[in-house]
Amino acid sequence: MNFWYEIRRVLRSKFIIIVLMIILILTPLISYESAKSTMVSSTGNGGIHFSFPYFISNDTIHIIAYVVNSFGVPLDSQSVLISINNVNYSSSTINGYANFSIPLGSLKNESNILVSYNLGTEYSQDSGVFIINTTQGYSGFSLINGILNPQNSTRLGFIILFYGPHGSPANKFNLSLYAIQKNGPVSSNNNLILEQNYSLSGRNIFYIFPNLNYSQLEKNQMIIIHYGNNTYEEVLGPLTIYSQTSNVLQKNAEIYTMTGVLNFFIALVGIFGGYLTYGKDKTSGILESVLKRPITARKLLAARYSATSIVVILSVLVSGFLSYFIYIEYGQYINISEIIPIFLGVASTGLIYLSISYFFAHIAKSQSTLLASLIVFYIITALFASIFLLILVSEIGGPIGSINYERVYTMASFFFPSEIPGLIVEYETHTVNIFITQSINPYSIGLTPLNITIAILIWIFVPLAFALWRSDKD
Amino acid sequence: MISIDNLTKFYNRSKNPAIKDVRFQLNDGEILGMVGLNGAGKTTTLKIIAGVLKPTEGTVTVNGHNIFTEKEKAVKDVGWIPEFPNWEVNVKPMILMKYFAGFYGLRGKDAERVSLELLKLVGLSNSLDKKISTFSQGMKKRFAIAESLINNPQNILMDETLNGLDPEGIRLVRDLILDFKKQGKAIILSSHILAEVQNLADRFIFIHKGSVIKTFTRDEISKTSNYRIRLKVLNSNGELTGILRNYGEVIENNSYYEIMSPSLKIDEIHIIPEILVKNGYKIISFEPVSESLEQYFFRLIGEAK
Repeated sequence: MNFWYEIRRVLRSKFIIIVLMIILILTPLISYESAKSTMVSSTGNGGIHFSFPYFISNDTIHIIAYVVNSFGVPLDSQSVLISINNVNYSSSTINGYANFSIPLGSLKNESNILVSYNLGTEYSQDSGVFIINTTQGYSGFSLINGILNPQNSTRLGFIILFYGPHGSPANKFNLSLYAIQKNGPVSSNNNLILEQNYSLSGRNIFYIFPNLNYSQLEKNQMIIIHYGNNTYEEVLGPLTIYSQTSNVLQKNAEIYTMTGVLNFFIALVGIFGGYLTYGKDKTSGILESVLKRPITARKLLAARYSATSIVVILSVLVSGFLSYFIYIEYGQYINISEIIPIFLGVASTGLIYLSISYFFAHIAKSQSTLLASLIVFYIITALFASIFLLILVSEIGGPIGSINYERVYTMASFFFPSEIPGLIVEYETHTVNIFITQSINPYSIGLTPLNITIAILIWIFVPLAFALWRSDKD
Repeated sequence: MISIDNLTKFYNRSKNPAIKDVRFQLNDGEILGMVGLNGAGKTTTLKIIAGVLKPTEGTVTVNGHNIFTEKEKAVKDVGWIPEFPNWEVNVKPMILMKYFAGFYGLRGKDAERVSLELLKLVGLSNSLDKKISTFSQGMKKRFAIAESLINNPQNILMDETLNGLDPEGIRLVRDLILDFKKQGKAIILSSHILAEVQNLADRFIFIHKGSVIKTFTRDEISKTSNYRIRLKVLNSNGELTGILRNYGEVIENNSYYEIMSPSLKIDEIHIIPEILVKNGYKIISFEPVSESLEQYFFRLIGEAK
């Protein structure tokens, strides 16, 4: 009974509240900065994409704002403000659409109407102008360029929109896509990437994801649409950034960054959580005032360890999912099924450092010795682990980049508890974190789920078992 | 009731044990005075009885429950007031009291009521808004008494509880001890203030270098220890010393005469005033003075050396 009483008491302590508050404040900040910097380096635009097709019907201008994210996913709740002759109209998107119906009125006599717009959210804003051709009475073809498709090998994509008379869709049209020299004309059919007949048949919007080869990626692309007797042409920018390689690289970089940030905090929560909930009381003698109560030393240790473990796991979940959603919000592509094992690995790091903190509490003779030992251990094994690893491996691992070097590096990583999540990432991404661009077979360097699990269990339970054994003897 | 059997504790196997083969019994309604020099093993013994320290050998039984195998049951009947109490000090006393009360099933209003009663009992009811870190040494001692009584223990272990208390505090503790005795509680009183121990305890245990060297009752002290006779006569003269020397070594001090370690048994000393009266001396005072606990203790450890 007192075991649970002690757990409840630790969970309600100031320490827990402070830890969770720090994580809630720091994680979004660091994840936000990290997501932004990863995004800049990849040039994968995480902002909003849109088009303003229109048509005139029954003396009313119908303007349709279509707003999507970088994956072409229609966005909700994007505010759209348009202004015609200093008269403002506002709306908000639902499923990507924001519709405006504006009476023509005195504008009927003007052949072109200038519309200024402002749309987005407070985090991502865009503004500009477009012109409504009242003579034609509809926008016809328009294009949203630079859409990513995670399922497509090149990730190049664009959206074709067509609003004909009274808002009608296009029946049939022929679309050709050419690779062209920058600003140059379409030279020959050798540059043809895609030529296909399409029918929107009742739809106004069409997503197209062509496959590009590497030679085509280095050039601009031109789209030519033949629709009846009309031709619509538009030049697309060079789309080299969406190669398959950079897609994987970007994702791996994101995973490594997220794991690194989380690991730093959770190791800290584990080691100093152990100090604050147990080690400090043990070495200062405060624990005696509790041990004289009806609870055994072993149960008291187990209760405080369990309570702090809950905090560690809670911290991982809170900070992990917060980071994940911030990455997703900024258009980064990480699959949730890939990060769950990493969260488990990070939680393991926290529990390992917690166990080690409890272990040290039973070795250190004084509070200051304990604190100093924990700080030194944290600095060596967490803050500068990679430096120590590089020094160690460079001595015995052979040439950098060789399979032996990677094997030794990975094996040595098992001896640094803070590297456990890194090993899981290596297993998942098939890369070694110092050679992120180089693909490896994890099994060939001893990186198996069994080995990782054994390492985690040994790191957690050996120090904890020692602490429990000592608590019974003291 | 507490039974201590064959307690031995080594902190370091390469050194002498802190206590060795300590055994005694504490009965209900009894005050046991524990006397010993610094480092004699008193605190180690009390910590083991309180369940916060494991012995190398031996057992402690509290009301039939083994303190090591049935600790959770045994310590419910024990209240240990340590010599140097140590708690989380950045909290107010009520918070800590309620936390400790929770271990005995006292929660919410019950915990608050009992805590308040105890804090009042020790004179800390006006300091509820202060953090323990701001308490004086004496206040901390009072708080230690209160938190150790949160479970209304049947057996109370007081380790130098009188140290650091002002005269009012000492009186408070003295009254508490006597009150506990009336309630049938068993108390171990370890103190360097031997006069207090002598006044309060029913039985005494001398610990020296980790071993119990003597256990005796209050009555036994007057029988087993040395005594002296102190007397004063109105018309003393040079012959008086000669008469008194027949019964032991005589010391003259400020018109008082003291016969040290008289050769007579205590029930035979009436002979001396009879002889003095026969010789024409007018006696103002005549009293046998027992050896103090302190004198007895130091004489014993001198012998033990």
